[in-house]
Amino acid sequence: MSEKVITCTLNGVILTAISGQSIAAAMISSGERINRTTRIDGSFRGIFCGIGACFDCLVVVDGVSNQRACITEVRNGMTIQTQRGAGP
Amino acid sequence: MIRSEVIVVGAGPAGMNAALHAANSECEVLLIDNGNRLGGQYWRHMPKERDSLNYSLHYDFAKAVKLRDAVLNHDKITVKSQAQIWSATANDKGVVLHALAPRNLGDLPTEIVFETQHLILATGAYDRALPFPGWNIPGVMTPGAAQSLLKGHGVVAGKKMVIAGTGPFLLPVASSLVEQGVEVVGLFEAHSPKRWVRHLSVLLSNLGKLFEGFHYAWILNRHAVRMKFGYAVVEAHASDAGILTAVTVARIRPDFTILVGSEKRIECDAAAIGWGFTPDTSLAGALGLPQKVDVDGAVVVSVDERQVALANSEMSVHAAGEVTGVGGSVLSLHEGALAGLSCALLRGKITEKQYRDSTKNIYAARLHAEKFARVLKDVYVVPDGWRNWVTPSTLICRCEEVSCGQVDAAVDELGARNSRDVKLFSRVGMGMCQGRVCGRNIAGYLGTDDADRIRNARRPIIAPITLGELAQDPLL
Ligand SMILES: Cc1cc2nc3c(=O)[nH]c(=O)nc-3n(C[C@H](O)[C@H](O)[C@H](O)COP(=O)(O)OP(=O)(O)OC[C@H]3O[C@@H](n4cnc5c(N)ncnc54)[C@H](O)[C@@H]3O)c2cc1C
Ligand code: FES
Repeated sequence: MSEKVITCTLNGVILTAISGQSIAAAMISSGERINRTTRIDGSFRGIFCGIGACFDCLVVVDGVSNQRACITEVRNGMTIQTQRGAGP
Repeated sequence: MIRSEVIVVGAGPAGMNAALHAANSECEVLLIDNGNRLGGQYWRHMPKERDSLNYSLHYDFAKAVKLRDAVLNHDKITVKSQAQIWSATANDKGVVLHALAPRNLGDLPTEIVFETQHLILATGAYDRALPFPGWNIPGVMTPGAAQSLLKGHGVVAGKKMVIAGTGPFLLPVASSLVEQGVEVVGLFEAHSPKRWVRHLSVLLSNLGKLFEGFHYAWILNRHAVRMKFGYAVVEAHASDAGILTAVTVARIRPDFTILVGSEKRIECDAAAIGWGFTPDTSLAGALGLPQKVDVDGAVVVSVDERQVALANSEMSVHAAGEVTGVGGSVLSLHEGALAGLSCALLRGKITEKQYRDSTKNIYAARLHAEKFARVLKDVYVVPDGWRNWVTPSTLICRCEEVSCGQVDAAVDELGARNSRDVKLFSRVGMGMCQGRVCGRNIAGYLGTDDADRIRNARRPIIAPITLGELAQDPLL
């Protein structure tokens, strides 16, 4: 069996990933470490616990904010955006 | 509403083995997990088409596959993956669980309610992180995060990495990363190996573990990576773009205070730093299960010798695996087996004699694994000296962005005396992770007692449900 390639977008730019990968994994392998800015001092955050416990890796997926990038699988056509503060 | 004779939450080693043992004794079992595949943390893996990588990334993947396939092919076990339990209640007659889950594969998640008289909790643990200046910079993560990126997704967390903290887990993390081509520029264990000296007999009676350790040491040696003992990462540095460029490591004393003047800067693009594990007792707290503070300071579910946490003539809640105290995958497997068989006994599927006969060896094996776990907790203890790594501006609560200085102010100026006061005055622990990351550290920072730690580990809901997620619910 061969690996299936998934195509989605990250901040409007094409992001490719392997089927089954998380958004966080796809972002890291494309060189993107920043998932969001914080609500209070606007500093950057990336993946931290990697298993859905810490809520640091939040991104906006198909317009819905606060999605944990580390436990959300990439899907074809998904639009992913780094989240600013509490999100849209 | 979906009912099942037995429900197991968590499909790691403990939960899978619990489900298998209950089902082998003719119980109808529903196994619920929020992941996409069975395995939990230790046996996290990629889809079948990437099996060759799965085998090379795991020390004992064949064992995982055997258990996973036995569970998947069992006609008495139904598996519900991608289901996050976010609320749970127990009464005299049973347990009700609320999950956010897709009804069919590919669907958007909707709310599903599950009900059972016999619940087995096997929710596992997550890495423990300690605060230090810069621990919130993207690129700093836990060893578990690096491991889950690799085992679950085939992705390395960085090109040039520092791995640090304490505990045996640093070894498999470092060796799997070097094998995948990562340049490990530093591997730092906070404690001295001399701490093993008084436990040599236990080490020698666990040859399997010893060989596993040698296996990792051999891989690291082949890649010329040496573990340095008595060091910790005490600061992380960011580039102008805000991402990790270097860490500062320092020599630390056995009480974890820094030896001033020993600091050294190491360039890296990712750092995996962890201090053992914290059991995930969120569900246990919601269900009102008895909890206690373990020897390592972690709040755990308190169970009897049959893994029962709560029971009456009509219902029971068992707990197994890391949620009853951190002990590794082997101990988790034994505890799971005992919980599954105990459920079968309570359901009248096996007799007391059958229970005794089939558990005799498992009891002995559990005791053996427990002894080893206790030694690990002694060797890799985390003393409170980390409190001198932080500065007033270091965040202690990452979600609500509360600094150590704000916690000091809550204590000194507002008279806060325990975790709850500090929470009310500073919003510490009130963010989305609900104190999972900071709760244990706040108690350590304040130096509070066991009762405070247990109270502080309770969370009103298990996972925050966003309005966005509820809005996706087609039933609303
Ligand atoms: C990130 C990480 C990586 C690890 N890697 C290793 C390793 O490589 N080697 C090693 O020896 N040990 C590793 N460990 C240690 C690990 O804790 C044990 O080895 C072992 O996995 C514990 O088994 P368990 O069955 O108790 O729990 P786990 O394996 O943790 O399984 C618990 C399961 O319950 C699920 N769950 C929890 N809460 C809910 C909920 N509310 N709703 C639905 N599902 C839920 C979790 O998603 C998880 O799948 C790791 C731990 C972590 C946190
Ligand atoms: S990295 Fe912790 S929740 Fe995603």
